[in-house]
Amino acid sequence: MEPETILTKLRGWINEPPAHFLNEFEPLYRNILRKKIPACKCPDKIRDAVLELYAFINKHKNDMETIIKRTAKLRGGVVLFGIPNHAGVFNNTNLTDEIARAFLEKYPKRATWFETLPAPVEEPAKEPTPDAVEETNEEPAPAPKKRGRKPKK
Amino acid sequence: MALCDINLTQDIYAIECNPTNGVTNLSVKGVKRNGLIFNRADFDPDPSERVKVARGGNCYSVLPLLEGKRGYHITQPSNNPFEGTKTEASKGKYVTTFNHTLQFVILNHGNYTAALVDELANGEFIVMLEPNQSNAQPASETSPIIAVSGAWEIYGLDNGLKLETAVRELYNDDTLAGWLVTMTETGAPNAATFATPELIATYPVEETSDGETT
Repeated sequence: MEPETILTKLRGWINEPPAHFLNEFEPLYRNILRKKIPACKCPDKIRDAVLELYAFINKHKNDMETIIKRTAKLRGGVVLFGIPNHAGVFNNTNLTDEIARAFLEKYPKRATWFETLPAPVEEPAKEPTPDAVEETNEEPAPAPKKRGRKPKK
Repeated sequence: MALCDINLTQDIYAIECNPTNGVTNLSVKGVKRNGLIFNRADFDPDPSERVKVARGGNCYSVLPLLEGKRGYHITQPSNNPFEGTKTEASKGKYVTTFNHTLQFVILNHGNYTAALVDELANGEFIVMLEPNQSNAQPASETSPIIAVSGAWEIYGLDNGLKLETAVRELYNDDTLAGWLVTMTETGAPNAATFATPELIATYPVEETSDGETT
């Protein structure tokens, strides 16, 4: 879904939420912000959640595609900082695969901080070289014959 | 141990003062009413996985949970939340350590509460509380320790909080026949341990409908 479409929907939900809109809003909120709507008894919690999601999408409008497709997820109690070319502190909400890869490139041992690692960069598929084709066509070498006496029964 | 580990490196001021604008910051009593409680075993025991704030003393910026583990809310009434919580130095034969005491009430009694107290009875826990004083300023720009604004205090990180007493009186006016629970951590090497507010925000505390923690 396009960010502009989501924003238009959210604008309508801020003041006059239609009946049963939570069925659509709750998964959207959970998938994008990676958390659940607070379970408090506050009367405005749904409106606050709509505003929070609206502000987040509005801020990251240009990166929404990468944010929705991201696979990198941190363990609880971990924030990332000191990443080259990326100022600020990152948690599960604002982390993208690109930032996670940049962090892991600098600190490869810190892969333990991730629940799921970022997806590798997609490289253009290479055509198989003729040597590789020949190798794959070769039949497997026959197993060497066993020599020596048979073991006594 | 190096000799410098036991030397004093800072000035002592009775009242913190912001050197840039000269404003004095009187300390504020107490903590806020919403805290977090964790099973101690749910934290990653590997010390190399933990990171402290540079020049931040005992303030952690990374304190990972094990995969799939979560925290739980601990909420108190707004009149003096967690009253009775304290830290005391304990002079030992060779070294001085600290005893942390955490006290809270459960203003209810029933099968649910009794099961909760049973769980508290034999476990080890870590509790994080948000102090009311959140805008501490460094006493000096050249101080070896910088102040971390809004840091939460951690109880039980070193040795774990264990149940000391759990009292329920039928006609007690304060607890309204609920439970008054006291948990203690003895022999902690640090006077206090802290966590940055950014770190606190990363702890999963809610369970989603599909069973995953967020």
